[in-house]
Amino acid sequence: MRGRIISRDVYGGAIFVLIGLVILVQGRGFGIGTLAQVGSGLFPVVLGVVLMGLGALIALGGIVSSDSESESVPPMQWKGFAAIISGVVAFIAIGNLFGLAPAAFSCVFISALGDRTATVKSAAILATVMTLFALCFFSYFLNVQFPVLQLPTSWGSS
Amino acid sequence: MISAALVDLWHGFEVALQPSNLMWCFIGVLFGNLVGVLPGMGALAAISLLLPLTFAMKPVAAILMLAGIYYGSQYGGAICSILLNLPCHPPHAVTCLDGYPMTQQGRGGAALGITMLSSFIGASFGITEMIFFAPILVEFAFKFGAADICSLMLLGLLSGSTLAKGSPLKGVAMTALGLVLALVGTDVNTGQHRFTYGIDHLYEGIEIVALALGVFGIAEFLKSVNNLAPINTKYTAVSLRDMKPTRSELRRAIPAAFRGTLIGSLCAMIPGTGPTIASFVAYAAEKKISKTPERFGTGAVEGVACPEAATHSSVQGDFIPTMSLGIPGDAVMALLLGALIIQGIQPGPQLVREHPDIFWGLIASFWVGNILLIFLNVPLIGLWVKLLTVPYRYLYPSALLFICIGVYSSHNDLFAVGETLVIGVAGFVLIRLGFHPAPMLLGFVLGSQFEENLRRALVLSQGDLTTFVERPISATFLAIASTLIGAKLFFHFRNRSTKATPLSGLAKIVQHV
Repeated sequence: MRGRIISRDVYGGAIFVLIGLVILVQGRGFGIGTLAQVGSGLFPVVLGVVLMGLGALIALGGIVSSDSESESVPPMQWKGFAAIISGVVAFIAIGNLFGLAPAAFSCVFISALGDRTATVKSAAILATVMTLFALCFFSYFLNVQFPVLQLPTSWGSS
Repeated sequence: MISAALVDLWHGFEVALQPSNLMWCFIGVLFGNLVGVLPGMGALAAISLLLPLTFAMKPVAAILMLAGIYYGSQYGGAICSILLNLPCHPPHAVTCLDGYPMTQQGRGGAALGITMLSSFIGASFGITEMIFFAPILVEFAFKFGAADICSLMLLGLLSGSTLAKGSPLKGVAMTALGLVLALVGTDVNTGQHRFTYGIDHLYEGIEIVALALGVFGIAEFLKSVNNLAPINTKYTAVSLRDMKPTRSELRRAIPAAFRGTLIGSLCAMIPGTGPTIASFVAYAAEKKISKTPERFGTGAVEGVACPEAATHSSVQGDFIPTMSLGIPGDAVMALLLGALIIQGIQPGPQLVREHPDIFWGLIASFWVGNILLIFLNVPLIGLWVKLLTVPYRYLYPSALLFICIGVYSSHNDLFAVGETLVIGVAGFVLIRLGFHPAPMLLGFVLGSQFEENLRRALVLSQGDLTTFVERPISATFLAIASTLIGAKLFFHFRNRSTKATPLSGLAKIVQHV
């Protein structure tokens, strides 16, 4: 476990150094200006430097010792991740093409399948209930502007 | 001064007791309580979920409802930690220490009753403090120039970021990342597009709703799916009658609650210490002055009353800088300010004068809301207990749907949903690497104002950086900020050499939450 905890901080620090670098390089392109007449780029450049510094310190801390983190890392749940992410993607894609009702159903159905104990039947029941609730609450009660059901032909024109 | 405050407060009650405002406050505390009870959900998720709904509401109603969600979820979280030993919200970690043993001994209901009573005592004191302290702070804040505001924000950001659990260095890094995210969009001074990469949806910047629901919604689900420990519902049979504490329990709990209140309000005044630290300090102090310290950890009522009162008085104290200076103390406050900004109201010292309805209405609604909560919690305790057992496999898909529709409804735009997903996945990666997302929101909300004031200060001083240390107010803030960093470093290195201090042991518990 020890080796893994050390590498966690090194990765985290490295990500921040990288973000800082991108901000720094792009920020310079916005025009730094002078201190009396600050341009759009000064604050990004300063933040880029700060992020790089903090990232380097975090990474260094990870190399030197493993003291900073005592949390245990739970195992990765790839099935759950895939279900949740595709649930949202399905909401966007199907919502764009067919409207709210099918989008809501597929979002809940797909994401519910990610749970270890879920079955197709339990996910379908939950999805039906939640879709009906969402239609009543958001479309009817709150009047959210989202076509409940539409044909894909209107895609692009709406 | 005092009589003026009382007149204003009277006006505040008139605002808070208007039927429509009262209704929103009620909806807020009800929903907050409900979500706070649900396993794996907390105040941040609850507020983020309802944030899109507030866009169409009047500012006063919106802020009353959001504040209601906040303290409602605190009550809900207390139920969760006492009956299930699951602290959903960090300050409640201490409440578990004695609350859960009380549950195991069949006194869980009494622990809940004591919690409600102590929270109310703590909150009431905090509110009173706010009534008299905030206007003084506002008068003082009108003297601030751009450089002073800038230093104050730096202090606020630093103390907010070191507050979060985990390593302070990572907290500061996340705050800086929040500042970077606030850069995205059109620069108000020059009209230049920054970090938009040609995507016109980003010209107006990243949506605060997308950011909040990404990191407190989607990222949390990714973290918890199939990883949530099974819930032990053995002790959750609590009825209304069980909630009445015995006379001897009350005799021990009430003085403890008052001591906790004092500790909490002191902690609220020191930058860098918030509700979580207040609750730990209160618990440690109560144990120290107790004649029977060995009872602590085995179900001592004082161990429940004191930290709960400290938490709530400190939470109310946090509203003081948020509402009077526009500097949020933590992510929850940042979300509240974000909601105000969306409504077109600029937070800051002018808020009290320009929008007395919001300021005094909010203060009055704290009391109204807390009383509503007691009325809600006493008869509904059976329902809350049932909610504790809702399985996560029903919860997260439903909440995910609400997130999608909520984010969509803020601009009737599916792009924002995609934005939320990207932020959520990125946030999850950072959570896995041990970074906590709350400070990021603080940086995000203050980001544009921080840059704006920095630029203005430099223009006024004609590019002279010494303005930040030459102006006495600014210099004071910077001095406090450096003291804060120094203290953090000192404790960091001291804890490393002597591992077995009692506070570091408590800090370990926080990290596990």
